[in-house]
Amino acid sequence: MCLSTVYKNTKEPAAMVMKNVVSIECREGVVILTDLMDHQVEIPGVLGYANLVDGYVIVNTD
Amino acid sequence: MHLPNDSTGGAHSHAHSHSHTHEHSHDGHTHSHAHDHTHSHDHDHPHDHDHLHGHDHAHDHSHDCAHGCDHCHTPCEHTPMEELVALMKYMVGHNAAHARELAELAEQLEKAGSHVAYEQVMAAVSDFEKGNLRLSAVLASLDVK
Repeated sequence: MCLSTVYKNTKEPAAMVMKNVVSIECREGVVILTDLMDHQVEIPGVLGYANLVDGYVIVNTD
Repeated sequence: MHLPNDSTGGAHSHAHSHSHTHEHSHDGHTHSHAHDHTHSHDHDHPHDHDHLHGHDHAHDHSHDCAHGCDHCHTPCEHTPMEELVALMKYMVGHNAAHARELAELAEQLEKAGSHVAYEQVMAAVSDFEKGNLRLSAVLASLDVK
């Protein structure tokens, strides 16, 4: 599987949260992203959409 | 790692820094590592259990990289070159995986009776592997530890 770029709510550059995401964990209302360098970002929200062909993911926070 | 906190009353603002260890898994293996982070936010929490943040902003976390990130200058502060090399390493491995998948696809084409397609796909796999070999050589020449 390819690396993904994660956006918040909409696939726009300004809404990008993290690039080169290797794993996504959803736990109790929080989406935890980990990138290739093992940095982590936590976003309160839910997984909205994942396009595994184009390598992007939308996290819904609304 | 933060775990749930649904508290709604007694909100206050403060900054805090703490270190904790958590276990998680990726790429088929589980490991644990500690990480520190500092943040300021409004909410109440008893601090006697792990919790998730109940507010709408992202938190960055840096890790101690005790799980094999042995090229760090300081914990999880990577130079652009280190990040590029990490990305390139990933790409080389990823390309190799795709080459294997294509070879499997070729075998399925042969089993399905299309020997010409099999040969063409295998020729493409060979070209693909040559390109990946060139990338590997570039990666080796970068020599970033």
